[in-house]
Amino acid sequence: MNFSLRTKKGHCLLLPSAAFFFCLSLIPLSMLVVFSFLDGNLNSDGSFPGFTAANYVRMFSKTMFARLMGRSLLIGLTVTLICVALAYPTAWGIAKVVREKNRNMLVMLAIVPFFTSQLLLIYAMMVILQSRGFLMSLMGWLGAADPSGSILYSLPAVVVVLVYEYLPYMILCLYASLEGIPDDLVQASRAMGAGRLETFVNIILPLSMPGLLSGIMLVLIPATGSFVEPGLVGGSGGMMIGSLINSQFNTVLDMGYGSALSFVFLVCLSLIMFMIRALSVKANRAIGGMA
Amino acid sequence: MKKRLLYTLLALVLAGVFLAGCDDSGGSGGSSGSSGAASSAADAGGEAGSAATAPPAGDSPQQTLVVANWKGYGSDSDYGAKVFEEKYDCKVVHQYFTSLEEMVTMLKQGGLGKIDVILPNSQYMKVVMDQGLTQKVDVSRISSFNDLRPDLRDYADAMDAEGAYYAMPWTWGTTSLGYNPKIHTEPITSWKALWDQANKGKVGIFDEYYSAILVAGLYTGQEDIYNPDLAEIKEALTALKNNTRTFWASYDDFLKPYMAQEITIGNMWAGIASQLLSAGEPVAYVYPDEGAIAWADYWAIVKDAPNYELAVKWLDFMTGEEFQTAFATDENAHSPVNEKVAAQLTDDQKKILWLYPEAPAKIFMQKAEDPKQRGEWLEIWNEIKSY
Repeated sequence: MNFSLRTKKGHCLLLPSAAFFFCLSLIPLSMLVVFSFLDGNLNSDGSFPGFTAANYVRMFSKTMFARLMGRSLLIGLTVTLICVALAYPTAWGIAKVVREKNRNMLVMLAIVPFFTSQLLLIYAMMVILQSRGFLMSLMGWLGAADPSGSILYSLPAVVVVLVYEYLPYMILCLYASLEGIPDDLVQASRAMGAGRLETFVNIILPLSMPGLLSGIMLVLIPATGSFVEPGLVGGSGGMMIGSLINSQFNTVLDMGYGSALSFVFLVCLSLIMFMIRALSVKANRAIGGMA
Repeated sequence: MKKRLLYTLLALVLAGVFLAGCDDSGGSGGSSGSSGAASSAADAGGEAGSAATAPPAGDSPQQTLVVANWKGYGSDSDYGAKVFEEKYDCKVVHQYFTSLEEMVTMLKQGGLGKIDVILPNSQYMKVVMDQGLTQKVDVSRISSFNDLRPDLRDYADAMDAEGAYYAMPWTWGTTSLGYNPKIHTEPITSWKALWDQANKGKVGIFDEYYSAILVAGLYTGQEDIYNPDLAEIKEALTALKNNTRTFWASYDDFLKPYMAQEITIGNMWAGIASQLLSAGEPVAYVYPDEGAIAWADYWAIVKDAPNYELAVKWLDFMTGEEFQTAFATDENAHSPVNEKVAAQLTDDQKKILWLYPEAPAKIFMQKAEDPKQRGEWLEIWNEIKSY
């Protein structure tokens, strides 16, 4: 009796967020699917112009979509990998190495970039990277490079800017997971003769997997879909899938084609996230951690 | 404590918004605007609506001309509406829009029968005409008619099939070829320079499909630039893309790499060249032999305008020598469509307008497009950029 009452109440508590999720996530998503079959744009009076599968035919009849999607995914994955590699030591340092009273301050420092607009972060990075800018002048002074060159307007520049933007997300996610790992476990592993690498693979990695997965999600998805960064620093060969989608809404108003592109993009990313999740579960089982 | 601070701030912001609102709806359009056209017009905000539809003050027998324009764009300046009001003993009320879409919406939602004149541009002229929002202009009463630059005046998109005029040009500008004369020491006279292998990796191209296709059309010498051979265009744009360092989309986007000399040549807005000039940067802005891309703003009389007679006088005044001279020489400098006025400008004034040593001989307007062509052209541009 008591038990069933509790669950009923519990379900009621879910209502507001469920309604929120329904209105702002499920409805727009199904609208996206419907719109992706639109023949062009909504009529000016708001009525539908008719439905067609032409948007999808158009998308897959040329290699443009596949090429851009491939390039975007490659950039997204590179950015994510670099973020993971940079964030693990940082997060570990904050969670385990520094004194407890300094932890909050360091986490704050990692969040500081969020106080600034994203566009400003990109521009700041451009000022640093540009020809005869801070970095190139320094390299020129050291004799390492010609200060009149720069890596701006290229794919590596896009990766650098994206890593800079999304690194804090990864640090925060990993920090939250690593902080929860009891020191005893690490000490026990070391005491029983496991090396550093072995401890990392068998203890730390499995236990921080939830944080790692959410970090990957928070970095991979926006990085793959970005269009501002490639537009500003990507140069003539830096176009990404986000730019293609953006132009359908921003330059010409072709809701149908734009929605179809967005939808396939969404499906591709969901599949990849699903694969990453499945792999991590498999890896965890293999090393005997928790699923 | 913190809460109190927050409330104080909130109250201040609210008060500010309120005051700003009062300020704008109270003015009768006489705000001496010389703070730039589109950019400053953009922050005029939504409070524009109330000004125009308000009845004229008092029961004066004066006629009231309702003008729809960008805020701070010539017509509401001291040498604009005020002079017109005195000249014709009438009142001029401005209704501001912040985009041309808004202008059309304004007309459709109650503006017809209230607004007398509007200012579409060369790309929007056909849109308002096709929707029947404008009416013929009695050009026999435009005294400067024969002085207006013919290719702007006789713009096909501002005329009907019988050759009747539906609008008069007001001011215009170009998107043409610019370069750093310290690096490209030989004078450049052709769009071919953008395709020149010697300039590989030094080119900046405006990331906009229409102007890109027009430039490629000029480069390949298309017979009808508005209906080009798309295969040739694609080939040319692919080659252009391989020469390009970056595609720019805003002032800053162009200025940064140009000042750092990462790009030294490209197609650019005249406004960008002006910015570079005033920043003391070396820049040459030229009109290639093949032609330049251009835009123009047009005054059109709205269908069912309550004061047709006065509206024609407005078009006459706006294209006349007195106004055009003041408009061309104010601190924001607008290229005159009146050739008599253009000829009387000093060399320095011409230089500011990029009309020195002379105005471009051949110009090609960015025209209105039907959605199908727009989609096709954008697709070409995207595809070229995707490699």
